[in-house]
Amino acid sequence: MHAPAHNRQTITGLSPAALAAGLRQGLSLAQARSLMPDLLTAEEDAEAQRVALTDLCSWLIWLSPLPAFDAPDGLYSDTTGCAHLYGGEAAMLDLVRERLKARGHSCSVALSDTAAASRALARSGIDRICLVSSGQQKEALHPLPCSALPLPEKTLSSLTRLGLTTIGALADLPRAPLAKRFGAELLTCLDEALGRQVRPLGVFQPADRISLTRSLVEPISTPGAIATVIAALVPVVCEKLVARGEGARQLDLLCVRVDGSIQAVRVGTSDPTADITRLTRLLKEQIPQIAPEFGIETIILTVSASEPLEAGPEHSVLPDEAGSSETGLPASLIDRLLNRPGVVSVHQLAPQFSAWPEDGRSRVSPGNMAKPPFASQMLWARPNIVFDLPVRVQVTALLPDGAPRQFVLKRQTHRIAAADGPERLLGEWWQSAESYGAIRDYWQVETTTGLRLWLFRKGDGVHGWSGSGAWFLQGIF
Amino acid sequence: MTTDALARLREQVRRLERRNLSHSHSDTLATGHSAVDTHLGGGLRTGSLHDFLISDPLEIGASLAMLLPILKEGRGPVFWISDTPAELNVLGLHQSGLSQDTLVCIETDTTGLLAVAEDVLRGPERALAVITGSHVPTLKETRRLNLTVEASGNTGFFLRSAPLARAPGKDPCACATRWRILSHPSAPRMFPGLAMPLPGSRRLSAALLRVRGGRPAHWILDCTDHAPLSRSLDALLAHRAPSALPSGRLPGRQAPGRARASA
Repeated sequence: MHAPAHNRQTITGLSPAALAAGLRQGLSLAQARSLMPDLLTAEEDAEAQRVALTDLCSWLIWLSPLPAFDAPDGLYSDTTGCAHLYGGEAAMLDLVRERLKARGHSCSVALSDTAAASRALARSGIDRICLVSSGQQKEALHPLPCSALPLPEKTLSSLTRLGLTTIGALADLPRAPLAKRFGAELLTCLDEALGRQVRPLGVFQPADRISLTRSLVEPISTPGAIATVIAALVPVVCEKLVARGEGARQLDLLCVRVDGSIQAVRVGTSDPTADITRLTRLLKEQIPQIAPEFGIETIILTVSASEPLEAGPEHSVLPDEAGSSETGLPASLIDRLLNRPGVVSVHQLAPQFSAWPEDGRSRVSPGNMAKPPFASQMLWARPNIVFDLPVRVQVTALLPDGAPRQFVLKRQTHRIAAADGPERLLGEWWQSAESYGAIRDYWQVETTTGLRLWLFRKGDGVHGWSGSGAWFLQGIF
Repeated sequence: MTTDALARLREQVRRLERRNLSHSHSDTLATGHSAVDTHLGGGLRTGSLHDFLISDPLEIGASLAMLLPILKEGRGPVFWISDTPAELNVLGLHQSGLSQDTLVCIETDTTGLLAVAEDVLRGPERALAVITGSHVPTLKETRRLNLTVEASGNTGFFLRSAPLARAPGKDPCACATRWRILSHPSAPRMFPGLAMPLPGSRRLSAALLRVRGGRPAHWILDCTDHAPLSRSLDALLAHRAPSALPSGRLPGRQAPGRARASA
């Protein structure tokens, strides 16, 4: 890893192999390359690192409820009163390291009385565990180099020039000359490490799921009672969502029954929403799905998926006029339908350009419609109804390549009074061998009773390779 | 005292007439055929149900030719509710003037069809619903749906198959209108040089079997295409224009003007 610093590329992170080869942090990239000609480098991505660290910090909450950042590559965790949960401090540190290893990180873990001392201990070595018993951090810090403290580069270099390489040497000096020479900052750092002064940690609060639990005094089993609980939970959830500026995409309602089993109901919405009435209605419609049996003693409402709430166009206070609500599908209605039992699918039809009409449509989810260009396909009239499977009909025509005169469908003869065509469609020869050279001639016909139908003949009626010459009914105008 | 009693009576009458509903000013959807519209007093009423009987599977096109302009007039989202996958063709519907943006297809299982339709029509969102399927709704079911649409002001259309021999369309129903629309032979247009005449403008034989508060009627309707061109004019002109050259001869390099004209 390298990043630009002072007009040059500096190494900021190293793999164990590179460390073993003698490279160190802070080396310029050019120098490192001269030492190791086949060095593999990548530029540092600060944003990605920050996201990864946030991720890791949210993960660390299993250890204690108070994790904190030590940017750019460290994490604190205040484990006061947590060690006994994992069988003692040593076992806890082992567990932390084991779990971090399982996630693919090499780490060094240190535990001591103060955060600054732990930081210095952890940063002075890679891939090791350091446990300092209470009150012993001065002895532990004694042999460590000054660079383990969070000091500015300039102070460090002047300390080195003076021969003060370890923290122990620094701590033994009288304080007044040090403060005069290096300012109060050095002493603050030292005091924090030695536990003479305390700095609070900026505790990270991971964005967890919004989840509300309502334990009931008595088990409930009637729809009305469940509806009451839903009506009590949803406003609180919506309030929390609004405070975060988010809207729910998916809600889980978990009903814990008296026997400990869980009845789960999940509803989804088509767009992020924090609308109380809409969510309440969606959940209440799912009540028949819940089987309370001996009763429900706890109800948990969880927002399992949420998205930032788009600040949509403001709804006008005035009632909108007759024509103004033409565009836009009612999202709440579509939500209800999607979550409704008995509905197989809710979709919109989108045109798709393909050679054969039966392939020329695709289903898209509501509101997901792109603006399609109605281009060349629109020169001929298209029927309103198109069969996916064309129906075979017996056609009489004067010439093999001419217009149809009558056809037989289900033992009923239809005479054709007028016809328009042929519209010649060519198969997608680039797709498959059988559509290579395939031709269909489409005719729009009107029978003597006025039926308007869409017939086609496979092939051009002359050449055998273009199709069999059989006739089919494909659509109704 | 007298005024109080009068006011109470007025209130009772209004409740009987169901005028206390929010959309008391009932709107109409024009069918586009002036004879039908004048007979119905402006068109099909919103906030009610309309029943379209299809006597033969091939005759569905005639009912669609009547129904699609009405749906377009409704200017709301159209929900196509069916218990089988809808065989609608987007390109054809686009040519008929129904935008694919406003059309939502809902596929249900057979038992849930009317329940879903009721959910759509109950509102409060504006919606037009087309209910297709083989299921024959009973009087109780249509009454229930009718109460729903009266309360919400949405409009529902039944598009159901009812063969002429088995269901003559005389059965009682709570729908505002009931139609049986059949195709009628049009006047073919003869052109010299064509083996078959071209179909003329579409003709429908529309039978209004029953209408609430009106008389049944029958019309032969001409569906003239007044819609704006769905395609660009130059494409239409170039489409099927007579070839400038006799067939079998490729255009020579000397005729750039002709090549441009036919492009």
